[in-house]
Amino acid sequence: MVKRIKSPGIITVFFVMLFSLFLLLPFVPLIIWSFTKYWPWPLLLPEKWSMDSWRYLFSASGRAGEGLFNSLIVAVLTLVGNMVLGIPAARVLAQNEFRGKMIVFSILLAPLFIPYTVSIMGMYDFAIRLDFINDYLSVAFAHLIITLPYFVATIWFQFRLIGAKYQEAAASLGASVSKIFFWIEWPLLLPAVLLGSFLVMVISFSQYLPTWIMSGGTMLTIPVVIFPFASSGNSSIVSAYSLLFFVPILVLMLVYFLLMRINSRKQFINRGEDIAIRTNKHSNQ
Amino acid sequence: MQLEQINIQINNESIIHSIDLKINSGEIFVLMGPSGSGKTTLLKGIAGLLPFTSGKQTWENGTGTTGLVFQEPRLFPHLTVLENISFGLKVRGIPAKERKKAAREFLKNLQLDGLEKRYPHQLSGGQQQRVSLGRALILNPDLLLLDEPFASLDTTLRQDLIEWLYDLQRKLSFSILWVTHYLDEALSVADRIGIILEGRLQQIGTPSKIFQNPDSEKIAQFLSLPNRFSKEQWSNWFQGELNVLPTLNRGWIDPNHLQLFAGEYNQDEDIREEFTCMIPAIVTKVRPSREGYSISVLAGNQSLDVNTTGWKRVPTVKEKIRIRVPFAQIHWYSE
Amino acid sequence: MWRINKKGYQINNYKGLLGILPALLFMLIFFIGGLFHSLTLSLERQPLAGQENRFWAYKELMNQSFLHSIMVTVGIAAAVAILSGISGLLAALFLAERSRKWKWLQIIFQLPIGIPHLLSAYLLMQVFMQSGWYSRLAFRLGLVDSMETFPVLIHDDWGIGIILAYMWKEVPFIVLLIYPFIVKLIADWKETAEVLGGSFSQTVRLVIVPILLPMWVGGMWVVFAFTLGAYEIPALLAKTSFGSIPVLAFQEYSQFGLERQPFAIAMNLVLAVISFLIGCLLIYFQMDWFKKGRRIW
Repeated sequence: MVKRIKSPGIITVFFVMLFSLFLLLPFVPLIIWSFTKYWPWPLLLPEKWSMDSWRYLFSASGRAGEGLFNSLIVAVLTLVGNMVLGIPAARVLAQNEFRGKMIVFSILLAPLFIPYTVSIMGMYDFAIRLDFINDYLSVAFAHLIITLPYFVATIWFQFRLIGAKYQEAAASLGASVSKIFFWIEWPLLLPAVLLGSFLVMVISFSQYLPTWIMSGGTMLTIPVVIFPFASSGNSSIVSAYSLLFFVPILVLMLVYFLLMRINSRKQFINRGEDIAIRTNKHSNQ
Repeated sequence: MQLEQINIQINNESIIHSIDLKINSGEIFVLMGPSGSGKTTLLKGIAGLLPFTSGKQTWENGTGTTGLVFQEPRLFPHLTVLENISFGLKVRGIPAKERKKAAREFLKNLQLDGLEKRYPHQLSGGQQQRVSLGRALILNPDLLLLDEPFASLDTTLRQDLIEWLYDLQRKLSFSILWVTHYLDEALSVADRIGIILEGRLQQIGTPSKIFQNPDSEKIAQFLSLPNRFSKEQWSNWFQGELNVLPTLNRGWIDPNHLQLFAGEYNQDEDIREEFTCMIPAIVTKVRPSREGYSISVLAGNQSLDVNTTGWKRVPTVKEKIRIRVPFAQIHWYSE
Repeated sequence: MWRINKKGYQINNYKGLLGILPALLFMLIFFIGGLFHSLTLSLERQPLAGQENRFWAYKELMNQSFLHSIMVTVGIAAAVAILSGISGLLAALFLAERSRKWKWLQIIFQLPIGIPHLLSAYLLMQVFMQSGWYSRLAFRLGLVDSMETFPVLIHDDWGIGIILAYMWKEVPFIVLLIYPFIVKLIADWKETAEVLGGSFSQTVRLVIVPILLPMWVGGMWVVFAFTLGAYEIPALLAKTSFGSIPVLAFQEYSQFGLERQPFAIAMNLVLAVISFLIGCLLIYFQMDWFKKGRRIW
């Protein structure tokens, strides 16, 4: 007999609220700090407001523009690398059975489970010995190591959801391997590619240590610019930089949702996904 | 268990409309209906998975328990056969030793001895469904609810399991509300049958009653009763008024009761011990069946099915034949 | 068309496997290769610094204070992984059950995913410091009467600030990882467990968590490995003598000259080995768990 489910207890709701506040509230003083230079304890709001930090940000010594530019280039290079390496690898892992598959899979996911700083230190030594690799490229390589596992896992999961049914149907109708990929799999894969790309860009934007090590401390991406201010405790400037950092993230989020919206307008893809999920569910039972 | 005026709405859409139903203890009640008719919704409502929008559910002894078995076995993949069977005892807080003992004993009834340590993926489909049934039965439900329990199994296995469950039910005498869309399944187990169409319970009765006197053309159609014609059509063929209650305006006849005659009209055949008629027709389709042949013919613009027994001469397509219809074998019902 | 004959199919099959090579080679050369290159680097003699022994870096590591650092670093990482794992599971369960009504909760719970660790450290520092915003709120509410009476949560002895900052990032990560699976598991198993008499909490304990276990523990391992090797949060939130290994190692690496770099690499290698060993242990447990024939996904 079924026991009726009670609505969530007051304690549960209290903890969920508390946790939501824990996640949300820290943004409040951040925004306030970026518009003031002097805000002593115990004032909840500062008495004097100022735009100095924002002005400094875009001054020559603030280097915010340079930081944004470098971050963007590295992130795009990282994303391209992920697409080129990740999609074919995820496809093979999802659709083929072969000996040593688990080992190959674990190697691809290894940076998730083993701290990668030491590898990047070794890579940096490679890079200075070879001495022909561009700074952007070598930093992107380091970011590629960190992001590839996430990307491969996301794409692999979607390939598993799609299954092999459509490819078999297309092949039985005489489609070539490349046509199967571009006509059948790619449209079904797109949502996962978008999600994976979003993750890759966000993770690449966030890296401090790998960027520092791989460029020998010379490449100024946004986190590298922010870090000294953060550790020296210049609250106002750090807050302004942090808010600046949110801009590309928010833009990315907007682009992601926009692309997802456009994608889901093509109804056939959604239906395909639904079917894929349902068949997957069925095969699990 | 008794249901009175049950209504179920999901997202403001009425699925079940004022259903009254009484299930006697120890009986197998089969609920039949096309897909989308609300069978599963009603079952989930009785099991307590869905709330009734209105109506009353009462039990003979005040309260009662139900067990629900789904179409797919839905065995917990991380638990062994024994752990699956004793799951319901575990959530009731029965100590490990006792529930293991109870489950082991129950395995005999399920004919699963020796498989208690297996995991679900190591069992065949029929074994899985038996575990699923056992998992519900070990809790001694007053009413067992079955939602097309064997629909995903192949025919022979399905028949074996139906037989097995029927014997088990007669032995342990629990009551069953059994949903199915298979006629043979319904006929081989049902004490009573209920027909549900579009969320309304249309007719309840013994299997023979349902077939001989469907309450409406809709039910007759759902049961895919053969050779259904209006009373006017039948009177045309019989060339006269028929001695039937005026409310009964349709009739059907089983293909086995129709007789086939070759060639033109012959006086000798028309020895009327009983009230019959002869319909001239043209053969349109001939298919072999286990008993003989099943033959489709066209009489005017009406199509009839006739079964012949034995392997005598078979009429050929486009051959002109005649069909003898014994009036007494027509079952009458109202539209 | 697809398989002309068995041989053709096999060739096709091997050709199909080529797609994995670029990614595999990349990881082998740069991740694994970088690791081993680092190992050789850490074994270089540094005659200029008076280090003639091949293993000088590791010898230098063998002392009381480094052992203490290992304990602290592993302890913090384990605490973060377990606390985030449990909170993330509870949050994901709550979201999966209630998300239809409270859509905005999901947005809040995914917000920190986009924020780098560096900023999460800074955000939490701004609110949890003794002169921070929460202490001001507490003052307004009359809970404290001076800055000093607000508890020390940043640069503290126990790393509470560090754990809070990591949880701010990692709980949403765990939620993101397991939420889709929890939704599917609830859809698949809730009814089944309910008709057998299970309450929701029993369904969670006896069905959902056991089936989710490999993925959930895997998620915690990812958090553990990340926390073990991450620099930004302890660099900003730990007191100077706290002894977090990534911080110590990066100081050696970036501030004390080239001849100290093998030492920094050695420290990081120790962390990698610890994570690898714990991973092996987890995989062993999982194999053991599956050995009896359990199969889940």
